[in-house]
Amino acid sequence: MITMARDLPLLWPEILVLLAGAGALACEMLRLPRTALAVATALLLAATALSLPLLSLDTTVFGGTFRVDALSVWAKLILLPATVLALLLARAELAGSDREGTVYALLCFTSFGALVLAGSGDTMFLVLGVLLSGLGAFALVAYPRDDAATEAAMKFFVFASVAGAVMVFGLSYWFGATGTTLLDDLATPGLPPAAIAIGLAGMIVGLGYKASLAPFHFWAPDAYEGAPVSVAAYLSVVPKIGALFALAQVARDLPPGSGWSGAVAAVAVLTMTWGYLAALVQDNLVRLLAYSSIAQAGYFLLGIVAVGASPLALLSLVLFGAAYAAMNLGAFAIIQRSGRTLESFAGLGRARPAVGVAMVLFLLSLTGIPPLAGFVGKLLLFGAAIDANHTWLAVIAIVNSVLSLAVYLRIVVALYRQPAGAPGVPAGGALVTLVWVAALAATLLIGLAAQPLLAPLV
Amino acid sequence: MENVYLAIALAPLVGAILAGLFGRLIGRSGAHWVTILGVGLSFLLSLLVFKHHVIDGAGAFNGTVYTWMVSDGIRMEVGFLIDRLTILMMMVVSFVSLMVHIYTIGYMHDDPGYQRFFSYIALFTFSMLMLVMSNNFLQLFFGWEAVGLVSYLLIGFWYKRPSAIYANLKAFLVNRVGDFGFLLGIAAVAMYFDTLDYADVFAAAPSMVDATIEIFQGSPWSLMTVVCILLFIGAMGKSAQVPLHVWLPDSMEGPTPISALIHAATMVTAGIFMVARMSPLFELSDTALNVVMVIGAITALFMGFLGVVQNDIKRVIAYSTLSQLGYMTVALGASAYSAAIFHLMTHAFFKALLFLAAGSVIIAMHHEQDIRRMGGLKKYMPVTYWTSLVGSLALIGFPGLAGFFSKDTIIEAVHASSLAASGFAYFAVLSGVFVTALYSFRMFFLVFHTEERFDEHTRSHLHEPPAVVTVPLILLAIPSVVAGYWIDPVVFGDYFGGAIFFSDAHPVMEELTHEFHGAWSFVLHGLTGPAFWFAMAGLFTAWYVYTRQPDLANQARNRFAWLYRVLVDKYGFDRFNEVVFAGGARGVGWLLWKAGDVVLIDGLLVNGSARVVGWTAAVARHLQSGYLYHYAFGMILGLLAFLSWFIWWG
Repeated sequence: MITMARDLPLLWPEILVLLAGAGALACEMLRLPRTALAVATALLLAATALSLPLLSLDTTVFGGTFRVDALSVWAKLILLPATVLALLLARAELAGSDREGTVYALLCFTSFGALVLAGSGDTMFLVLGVLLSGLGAFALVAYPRDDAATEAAMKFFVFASVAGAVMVFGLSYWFGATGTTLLDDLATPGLPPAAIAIGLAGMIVGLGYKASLAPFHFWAPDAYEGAPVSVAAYLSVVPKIGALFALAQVARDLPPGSGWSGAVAAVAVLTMTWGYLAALVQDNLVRLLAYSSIAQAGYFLLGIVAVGASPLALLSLVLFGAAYAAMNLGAFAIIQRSGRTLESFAGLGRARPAVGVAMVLFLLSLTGIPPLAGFVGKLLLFGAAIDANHTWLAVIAIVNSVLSLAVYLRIVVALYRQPAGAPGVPAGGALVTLVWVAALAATLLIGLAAQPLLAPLV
Repeated sequence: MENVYLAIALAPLVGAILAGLFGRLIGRSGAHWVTILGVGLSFLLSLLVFKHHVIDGAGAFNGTVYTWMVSDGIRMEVGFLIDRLTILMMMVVSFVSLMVHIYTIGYMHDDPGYQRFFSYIALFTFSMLMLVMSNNFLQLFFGWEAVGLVSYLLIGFWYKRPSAIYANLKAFLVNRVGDFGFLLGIAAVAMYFDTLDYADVFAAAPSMVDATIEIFQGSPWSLMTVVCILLFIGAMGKSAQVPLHVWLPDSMEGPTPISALIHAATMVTAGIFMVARMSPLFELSDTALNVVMVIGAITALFMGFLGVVQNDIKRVIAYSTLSQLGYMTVALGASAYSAAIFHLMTHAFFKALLFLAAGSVIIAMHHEQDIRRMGGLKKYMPVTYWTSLVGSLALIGFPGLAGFFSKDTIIEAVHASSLAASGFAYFAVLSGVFVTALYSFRMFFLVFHTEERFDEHTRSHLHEPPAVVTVPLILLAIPSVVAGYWIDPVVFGDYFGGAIFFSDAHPVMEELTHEFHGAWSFVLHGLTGPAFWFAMAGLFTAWYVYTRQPDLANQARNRFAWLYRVLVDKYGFDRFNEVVFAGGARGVGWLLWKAGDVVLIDGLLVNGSARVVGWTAAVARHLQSGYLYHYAFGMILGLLAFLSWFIWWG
């Protein structure tokens, strides 16, 4: 057993995130929501800063059960700033509402769950992460306490419970086969294939629900629609990326030839296609982006099938993770300031040129147009899939990108259409503006600075 | 200096972003101040760069500013190649752009799209500077497309006019043809040279002289000829050479400052600049040079004729621009690259001047553009009159003015050239001089002299426009007079140094340099040459026909009715395109529509896939029923599918 004295310093970021949640809760008890926001933001930023020195590490703590490697550290560097942006969005949307501080606390706890997922080296951590990032999320969706939110949260909860149960059931077979809960031990030769298969199926259901992969995505559009926009923005980024990184952690230890990469590729095709097809007929922008975020999750799987087969795999997951977090949060921020329906976007680009240009850039980046962040991320993902001999998958992904253009251009067209009535453009608050400007800066930076960012990573 | 180069390109971009995105915030005067400051800074820094490189004699700078991506060994970069060719272009672009920015304050004074306009022209300046400063093909292409994009935006600036939208679409489509060739040319370079960097390509070019490519089985073509002709097709689109010239006259639908900046002085000369930049490639293919010379000669002469029958003041100048671009192209074909660039520079000054003067007339006449309803404006607008006179004399090549030096050099160069096409080209450029003088002074006399042909209402408001309009005219008139005396170093001296390459097989400039004995003797020599007398004959004809014997023009028109019709019809290019390309496309389209489309594509593929998409989407929507047990069912199905999959494979 390795001593606590060595392990704890490696976990400072996680500890600070927990403290951020606890601190926000304490402030809420004192009815100081602004202080809660300040405490949570400060601690999350501190946790981000403390993650930086860990970047060069590739080690484990707690006897190999939790990993401090590139994937888990990059998860912190992506998800913690994303959580800060979500906190600001939540403040802008929910300021003055009853129990405002609990939102900040729940966001921090849920992010903690996502970080646990992204670093798991053990099935117990997978289960813990899924549960931790789920419990907070149900409460966040139910926060408005109206009928729509309650129904959405209820569905989300029941769906999550079933998925979680299936996952735990499946993982118990892994425990039965290997005798330990460590993921490392899955690579041991001579394990009974049926047990591995059942465990794998259970894990895909559990993480697939969390990352909203088809056909375990049904909860997502309903939950996002019922939830506050800021919560939808958060759910579409932080727990999702956590779950996808967890899948990559598992994939690193799976024995090759167990058929898992074919299954993941099939999920990728189904998820991308289903997501964009369903997005095509949505008029509610939150639902549209919900389906778009389902489809984008399918693109992550291109990197996951290549884990172990291509040096680009982890790199592409990290880069697309950062790109996706930036562009999706940015698009949600603009929906939060301008309205949830396609109609509310009519003429926005003329009335507010800066907001219009920003939204167009987010959408083009989601499509994957150079030189924006989404392009660089997708290019690497395609490269990784082709390296791993999944060229057909890359081709389907490219075809889906064409389909996605139809999805996103509908919003662009609305932006520059003459509005039917008088343009009642709401003025965005300073916080929302801050969020989309930051997201835009990240989207442009990741796209334009591709080589400088990549060179040290490769 | 690297930061200075960067600042030169980025200053107008900052202005464009501020004026475009925050136009409402900073207001109308804010918009023109930020953009003028940005472009003004570019101009001053360009002068600094000129001092650094030309006067202080620093060598050329070739460096990468930023590496965007490295993919399969091909580096995609932003980089600058600052040699003397670039510096000359930078000064011309930033100076003319600055003049046009200032002029626009007066011209667009009452337009509701004021901030948008300034944002576009500053963005244009940025793109054009990126184009000329580039050190690689990728950035060249980026700048090429970006200036094109701004050009379409500005042609359609008054987007409520159907004619503006038509012109904008036409410019876009015709340029697509050129850009297609250009892109193929760049692709060929990338494929055979494995790099997009100018220096590497030029260094490798001589070893590729004998390389051939087989596009069609069994007929090998010289690689250099194919690459050069493809690149030149790009130049034909951008620099409006026959038969891709048809968009330029229609582009006059845009506001006049744009006609001056984009469609006369800078963007349309990008093609000329590009060919000069690529001289190490073009010098390796006589075939390509012959093609360049023939296309240029046709454009120079035949587009000039059309200027004689136009009645719209801007269109006369537009055809004159086409003809002058033809002169520059001829010079390129004759390997007289420095003469082409010199003419590009002098032309930028006097043609911008003529356009802005025409704009000044248009404002004074309340947006009347028909020269048949003008006349006698001399006494109302003295500044415009005198500056126009300078511009027109410079254009026809009156000895001592800027145009004389550059045009005479081109004519001499063609005379000295030994290429097969040079005989025809010499005839064309020489006769072109007469035509140039005829249409220029026809317009000049009809606008400023002759009796007044407008109503009392117009007369009562007729006056010289404000100083923001007249000052740029005067500032442009100065280089239109004096720029020609720079001929000694630029054309015959070693100004360009290594920036332009001549092969020993085409010693045209060497021969001319031999005969050159200073600017003054060049003027004296010009007085005895045929070009001067052709110009004088044209001027005299214009004076006699349009001021002394106005009936003569009508008689000539009746006598040569067929000729007049051909000219008014613009040789039928537009009709040909309309019938053959547009009509042919429609016909083929109709056939395909009936035969293939309705049944196969529409029925099966489009409607079919749309139906499948719609159906699947509807199914997806249906599956998203909102009932939890449906969702759970979907999940269980998925689980079963995975289990079967893994058991099967595992």
